[in-house]
Amino acid sequence: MIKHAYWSRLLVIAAVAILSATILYPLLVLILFSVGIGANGISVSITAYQKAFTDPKTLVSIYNTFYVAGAVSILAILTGGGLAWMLTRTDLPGKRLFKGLIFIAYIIPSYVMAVSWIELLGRNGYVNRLLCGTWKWIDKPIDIYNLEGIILVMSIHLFPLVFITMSSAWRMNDLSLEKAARLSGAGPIKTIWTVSLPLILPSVLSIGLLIFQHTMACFGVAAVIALPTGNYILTTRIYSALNHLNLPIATASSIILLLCSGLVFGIYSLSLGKKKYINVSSRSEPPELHGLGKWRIPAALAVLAVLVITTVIPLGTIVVSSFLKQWGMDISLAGLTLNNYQIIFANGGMGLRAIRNSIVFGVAAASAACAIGVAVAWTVNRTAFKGRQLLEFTATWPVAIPGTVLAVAAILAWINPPFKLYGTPWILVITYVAACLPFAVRSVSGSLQGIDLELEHAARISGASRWRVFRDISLPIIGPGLKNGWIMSFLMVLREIPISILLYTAGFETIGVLLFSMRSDTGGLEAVSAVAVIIIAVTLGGNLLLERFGKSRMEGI
Amino acid sequence: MLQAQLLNISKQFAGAEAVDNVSMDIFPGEILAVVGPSGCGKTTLLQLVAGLLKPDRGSIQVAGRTLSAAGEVLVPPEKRGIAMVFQNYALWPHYDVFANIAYPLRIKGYSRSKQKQTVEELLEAVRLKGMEGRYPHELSGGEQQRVALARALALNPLLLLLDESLSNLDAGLRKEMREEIKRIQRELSLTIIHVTHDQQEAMAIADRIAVMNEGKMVQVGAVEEVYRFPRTEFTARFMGDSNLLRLNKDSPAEMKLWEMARPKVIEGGGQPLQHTPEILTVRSEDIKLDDVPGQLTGEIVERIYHGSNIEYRLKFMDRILRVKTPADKFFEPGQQAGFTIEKATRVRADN
Repeated sequence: MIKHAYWSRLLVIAAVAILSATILYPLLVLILFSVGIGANGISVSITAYQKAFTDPKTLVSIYNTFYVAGAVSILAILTGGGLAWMLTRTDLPGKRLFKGLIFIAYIIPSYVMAVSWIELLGRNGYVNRLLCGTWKWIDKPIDIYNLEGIILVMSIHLFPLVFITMSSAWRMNDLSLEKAARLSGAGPIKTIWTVSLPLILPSVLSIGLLIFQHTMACFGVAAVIALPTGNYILTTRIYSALNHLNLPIATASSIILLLCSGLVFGIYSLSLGKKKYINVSSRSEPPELHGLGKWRIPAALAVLAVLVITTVIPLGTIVVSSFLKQWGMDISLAGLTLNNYQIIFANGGMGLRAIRNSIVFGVAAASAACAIGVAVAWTVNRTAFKGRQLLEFTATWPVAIPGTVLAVAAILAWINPPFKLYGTPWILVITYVAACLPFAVRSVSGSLQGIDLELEHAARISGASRWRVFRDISLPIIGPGLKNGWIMSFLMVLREIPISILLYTAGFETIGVLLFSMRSDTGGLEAVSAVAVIIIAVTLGGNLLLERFGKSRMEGI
Repeated sequence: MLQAQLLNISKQFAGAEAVDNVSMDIFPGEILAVVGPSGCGKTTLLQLVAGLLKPDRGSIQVAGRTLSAAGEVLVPPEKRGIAMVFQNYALWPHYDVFANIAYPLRIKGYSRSKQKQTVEELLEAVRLKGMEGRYPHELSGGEQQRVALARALALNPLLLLLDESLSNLDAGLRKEMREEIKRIQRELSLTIIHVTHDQQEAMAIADRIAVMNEGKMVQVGAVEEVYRFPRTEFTARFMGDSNLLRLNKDSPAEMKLWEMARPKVIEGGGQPLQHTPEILTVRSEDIKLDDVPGQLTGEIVERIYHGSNIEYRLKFMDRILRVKTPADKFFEPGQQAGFTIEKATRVRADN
């Protein structure tokens, strides 16, 4: 490496400073607070943990968290993995349609998914009205307000993630290995059992851990489905403890959740690094498809049924409900209205303000995260700075921290002078930045690693200074990755719930706050649905943009 | 007058000497090929010259100016007036052909019309007229290579560095580009350092060859000299098919061959070697085969047909010799053949 110019040192210092302020400082305060430092003097005590571990509600919430996360992992893997196998390795008809439906399920925010299932299976839900009322098939309405409700919604929300990972795993699997098994005398079933499945097992376990961690961190779904009936998981336990100003329970539970989530995510990261069998062959040979024979049509119908129930019906429910004059009315032309949308966009109303705030915060947080992302990724990949691995780790580990925990840490860190940011919109932006950083750093790092160092060397030899090399060569080439990171961050902020709920102040409500509070205030389900439709539309737009940037003209790099 | 001079250059990577006390003179208007197996330090040497790495010790001068010295890069790469063509060409994917070639001119602050004129001339020189608007991924390997060359030539470099630049081309294209580079080099009287692991390519393109092994400069000299008079065992092995003969008391075959070769030793390539024990090297084309048994007789064990010549494996007692003959000399495997050693040279044993 060439001697560092002083601005490159400046870059490192700036990156370290910002990471410390947004991530390290709040977490440090949270940890100190949980052991009694900061609350009343400097005496270390484990009172908070004693309280947490003797509080029945907290204990049950820990158990519930693991129950829900485990169940969701299994369900999502079975559904997503099975669909992935059918869509990549068999001659199932209608693959394009199915992939489109799974993509839609992928982009519907989990909270919106929860609302739509409440509209279907709630006490006055459409399905219950049909089953109990119209058809009288059952006496008591189906109850969704419990842990199983969370499991249902989170499984539907997360199975597309499994599908995407497992599809590429099935595709990557070297087909010659299966052919070799066939030639060695194994039948098709035996081949799948003895060769294909063992090969794919590491991918299954990794994605299972990721799903597990995602579910542990979920807040919105648990809050809307299980909290009203007093069924806690850790995230909602933290939330209600905070609402009752029970700080010991809130901080201790936050640390417990942080440790569990960090542990699972750590194992997940290790499992990615240590995959024993990697068969990434860059062959272009299309995979040989298993013939389903007479099961082709029934299988397709079954897949269609699953996807209609998990995707089409919830989406349709949301859209239809968003035009209802009042929740609970029968669906007829006379009962439809545009009023819900008009209320959202009404001048001076909370709806328009929330949307505007979310966009402003989203743009600010995504831009800041991307700028820091570039600084961090650059330091890690292009300098000899000693602590660069630690820097990258710090910037990417918030991905393992549930939003609820980030929010609790932010409250404790920024509530007292000299850093009194609680009550200002800055606390929201800073915490969003922390949550966005992993996406930004990963995207930039990924594309920076993709640049051959020779491209930068060639520019220097052509006469460009370090700064010009960065401006003319590196930045344009990492551009697509940067855009991806930005859009992902922006969408995350737009759909984010726990951080928004816990940190917003009056006048600075966000879309997440709007969605969450509408249930209890005015409007009700039909207004929530209208907001949900808007979010889905924005998310869809964002993802289409991502698709476009993914295929730039520089594919050949 | 020297175009460039390296004096006692050393560079360590992770405690290992990647370049170990290398000194080298480069004369104006010559092509110097640096050859050696992969990992011998030749690419590191090139990056040191370019200023992309700083030497631990030693100094580098180009055109009378000291660029690096005493562990410092005195002149950064962008101010050295040195151009480089990279192994993977390093064309910027977001720039078209014109923008790639014009980049050094743009940095220099040339006017748009001057840039246009220069790029046009360069494209003509590398025979890519009319390709200005293409993007790198739309070009073939050979065309990318030419664009990279044009870019490197844009600022009339004092020194042009070629880093394995021909290695990624297929055989036919490599030959064509080799001739192309020679032609352009003659026309512009460029000074070139060409790094390659392919000794055939080095001999075909270069005026002089520098052989590197394990970070050390083993031998520098004119192409014929290095080929004819390798000074070390390594050079003899690396530069072509050689039969190395040691004074080995345990092997009667080797003793016999050594004695036969000793009187045929020719001297050259500078002062005679002082080192003992002495190893003799006999090139495969310096062994003559005969239909009738002669003073020495061996058995043909393998025949490899190359078209313009034929390569044989000849078994003499317990030793296998490599022999190359003109294509009209035909022997069958299993056949007895007399042979004589025509020429031999002395080399220094490695380590």
